[in-house]
Amino acid sequence: MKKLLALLLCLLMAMSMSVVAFAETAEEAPAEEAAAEAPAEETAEEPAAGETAEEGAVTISLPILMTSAGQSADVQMFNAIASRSGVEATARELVEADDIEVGEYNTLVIVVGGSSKGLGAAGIDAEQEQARVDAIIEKLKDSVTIVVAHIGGQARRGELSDGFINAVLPYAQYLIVVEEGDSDGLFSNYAAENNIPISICPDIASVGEVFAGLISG
Amino acid sequence: MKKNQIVAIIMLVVVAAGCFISGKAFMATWEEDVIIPGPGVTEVRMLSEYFPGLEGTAGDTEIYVMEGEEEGGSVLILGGTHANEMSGHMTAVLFIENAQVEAGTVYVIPRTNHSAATHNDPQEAHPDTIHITLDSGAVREFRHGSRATNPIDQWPDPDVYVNYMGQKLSGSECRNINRCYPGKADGTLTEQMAYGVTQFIIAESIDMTIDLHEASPEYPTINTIVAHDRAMDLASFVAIDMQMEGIDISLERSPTTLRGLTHRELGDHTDTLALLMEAPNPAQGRLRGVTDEELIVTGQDDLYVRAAELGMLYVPFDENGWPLEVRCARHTTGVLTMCMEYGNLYGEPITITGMPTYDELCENGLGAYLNEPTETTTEST
Repeated sequence: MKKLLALLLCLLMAMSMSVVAFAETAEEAPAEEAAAEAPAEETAEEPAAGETAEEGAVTISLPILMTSAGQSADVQMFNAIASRSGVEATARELVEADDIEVGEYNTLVIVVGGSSKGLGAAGIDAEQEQARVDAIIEKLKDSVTIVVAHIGGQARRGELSDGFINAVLPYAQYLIVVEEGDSDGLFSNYAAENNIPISICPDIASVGEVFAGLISG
Repeated sequence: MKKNQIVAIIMLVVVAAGCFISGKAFMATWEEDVIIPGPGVTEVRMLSEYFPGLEGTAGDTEIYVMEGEEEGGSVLILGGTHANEMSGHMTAVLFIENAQVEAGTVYVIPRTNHSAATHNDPQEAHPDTIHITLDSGAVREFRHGSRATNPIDQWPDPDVYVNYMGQKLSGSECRNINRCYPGKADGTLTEQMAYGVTQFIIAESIDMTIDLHEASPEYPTINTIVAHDRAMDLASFVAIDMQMEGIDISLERSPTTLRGLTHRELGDHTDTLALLMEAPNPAQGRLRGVTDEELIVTGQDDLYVRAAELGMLYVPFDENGWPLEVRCARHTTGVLTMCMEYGNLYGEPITITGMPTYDELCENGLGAYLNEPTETTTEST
């Protein structure tokens, strides 16, 4: 009888622990909403929506080269907001692979977003722009951490932008995305499926601090 | 007198009356709308002071000067580059009637293409004027002009217009001042107006020039700042600041291949930081429904709501549309933010007070921030 009572007690304890664990999981469930509303610092320090456990494995360090994929002015905006958060980088929206030495930079940030006006300003078409970006990636992929950033929201989605996004995503080792541009889950789903760490920022204001929070060394 | 002679006389009188009435209405469009300068205006000059070739022509236009007590940077606000893009003109009017400058100098040209404000575009069904009701109940009238110089002042158009920078454009663009920069002293009237603006910027060493525009919701360059290469850093901070305030705005670099525009040529041919802003106006678009004063003022159009649902637009468009006060609020906030960031970046403050905030303009409308007309102001232009 005593053995039966002891067994019953153990069973009850195990069940109560499961219930508590389940309740805690349920409280954490709306992670995506939490990430969207979280201040930038929290987004940087804690795993955001879609972020994987491998974040620590990616090293983002100085010196940093920023370039565009699509010639939108988002690369200048990313550089400006990073600079405001204390991260100095070299932004060269039209840099060619031949202009860069292997080992010159530790991190390559590709800010994606297509702009027909920007391409026109650069005097190139989308194919030439993609070829430029491909050549840079090919040259640097073994020597740098590649961060893909999308900060232009819905205005930088669509046929032109999505072409550049889909072309650079396979090389991304870290993703920084302003939430509005991920309304269809393009970035967060890709990150989850490919085990790539991602920071989803509620707005452009939080991008600088998120990025600064990722820099090591 | 024979019967047919009586009929002929009656017909002549009817035709003469028709000619008189329509002629009077036509000539009324040559009259400027009334701007009532606020206490911040320290001086009014004419563009012809900087290029005498414009004196006595329809291209001469007022420059409102607001000089602060403290030294600082200088900014030129261009309204009415395209006189049918009302928020550009009205934002300039808001600055003239409300702004008080504490540091630096603000110059405002509300009718950059003065001639374009004296007619409107044929076959577009645009109204001649729009009306804004003030809080007192008084009504202010503002002229809704054209994108281009009045053909009375410059005619005929060539088949192909080759501008000063050698770019080939359609013939009618020869009357679009924003394809004629940096202008020509011995060119067409439009090129002379552009030349006058360029000479003014050089003579006064204007630090920053902001050109205010509107575009159709289906045009990709919209809700955006276009910046000359030298102004990209400034514009980046401005776009970020505005987004942080919840105003959706993007940034574009001025194309080097598109010549004759303010954001390219004023940046290339002067030391000014050249910027341009675009706000959405359904009256500019080809998908619009009924075209009348209400469309221009309310910015509401059911067909554009439908177009947005079909994913055909570059801006959100719901039943609230893009009212004139919202378009002006975007421009006003943009100009103020540019002035603030100019001070931050270059250490020469341009401090402006007295202007309504974005929320105040959206909530209270333009009528709350336009000055009351008096007998003197209604008679003068």
